[in-house]
Amino acid sequence: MSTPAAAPPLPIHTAIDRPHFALQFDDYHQQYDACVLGMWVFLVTEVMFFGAIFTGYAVYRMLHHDAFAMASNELDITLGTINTFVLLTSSLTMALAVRAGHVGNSKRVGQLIVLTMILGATFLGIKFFEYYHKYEDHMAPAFGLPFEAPKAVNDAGLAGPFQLFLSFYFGMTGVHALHMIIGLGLLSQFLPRSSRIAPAPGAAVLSALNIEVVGLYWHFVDLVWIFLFPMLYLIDRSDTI
Amino acid sequence: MSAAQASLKTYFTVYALLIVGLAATVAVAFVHLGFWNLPAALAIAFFKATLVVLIFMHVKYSPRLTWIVVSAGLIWFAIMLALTIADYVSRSWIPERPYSVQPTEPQGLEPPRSFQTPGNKAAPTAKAQ
Repeated sequence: MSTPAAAPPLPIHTAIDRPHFALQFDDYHQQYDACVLGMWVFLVTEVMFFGAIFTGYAVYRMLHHDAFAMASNELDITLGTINTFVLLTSSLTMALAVRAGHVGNSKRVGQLIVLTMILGATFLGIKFFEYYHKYEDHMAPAFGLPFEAPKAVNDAGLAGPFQLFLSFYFGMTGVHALHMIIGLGLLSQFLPRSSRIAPAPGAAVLSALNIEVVGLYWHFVDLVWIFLFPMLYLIDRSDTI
Repeated sequence: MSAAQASLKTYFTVYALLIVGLAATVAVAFVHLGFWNLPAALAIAFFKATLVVLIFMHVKYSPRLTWIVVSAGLIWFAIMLALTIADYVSRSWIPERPYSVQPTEPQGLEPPRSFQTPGNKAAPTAKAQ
């Protein structure tokens, strides 16, 4: 950590060109650790944000277990699994992009970031397709849309908690999708620089640190989904309700 | 800072483990384990999350201060979840159907509402006499 930043001559377009650091830091490494730490503090606030939603979900799942299980079985497990696969793969490409940034291969960074964005957009596309299906099935409890619980649920007198689960589903996946959209926006800032287009004057210099921090955000969104998927899609699939 | 230390092989190994975890969590969900379905799903999710945090997010190669911040997030979330759940599990007088209209009952040293069933509602009157 105390190694001085012995900057070897770098080609102008590499990802870690000009490892400059701000005035308040002793060296680049101190700035690096401080920025990563700051990003982690932000991510911890995000943990608490999603944590509150998860806690509410846990309480209501405890109170209305049967209705939640019935509602969970209405979700499309195939699309959910494919989406999880897509998101895990995008996490891999993001991790590889961060690594390419550290190694200084900016062309590879660009390719991997484009790949990550394609995978992220695929996730969102499948997600909105699922939303649309729920809308068509009259199971979107929002904006005063028509809502009809299946007959078996109505007969069991569980229509209320059934709708509550779908509210949690739309709320949790919706907030997650919003984070994905923000992540896509953050990633897109690297495109002009990592492709060989000259950046606009005053544009942020692409550095390994920038990619690292955005990578942390992207992985966090992946982490949330790792918990969302089993919580929402996989309640009691074995029971034939 | 030494994030580039992780080799390509490490990343691909972690990715393979994540996919195995995904397959496992879907497969386990279709096996009837009763109560144990949820702990199994959570255990796999925690395993996957640990891999992502340690390797993909480079915490394994980060200074101790980062470890403390990450642990603090986990601990505070655990406190929120544990205390809230403990409240709902142990306070049996919280009505199970908060939206349904409950008959108003006399205040005083009555047993908690959830101990009363329509059948035994008149039971404490023995004391009142």
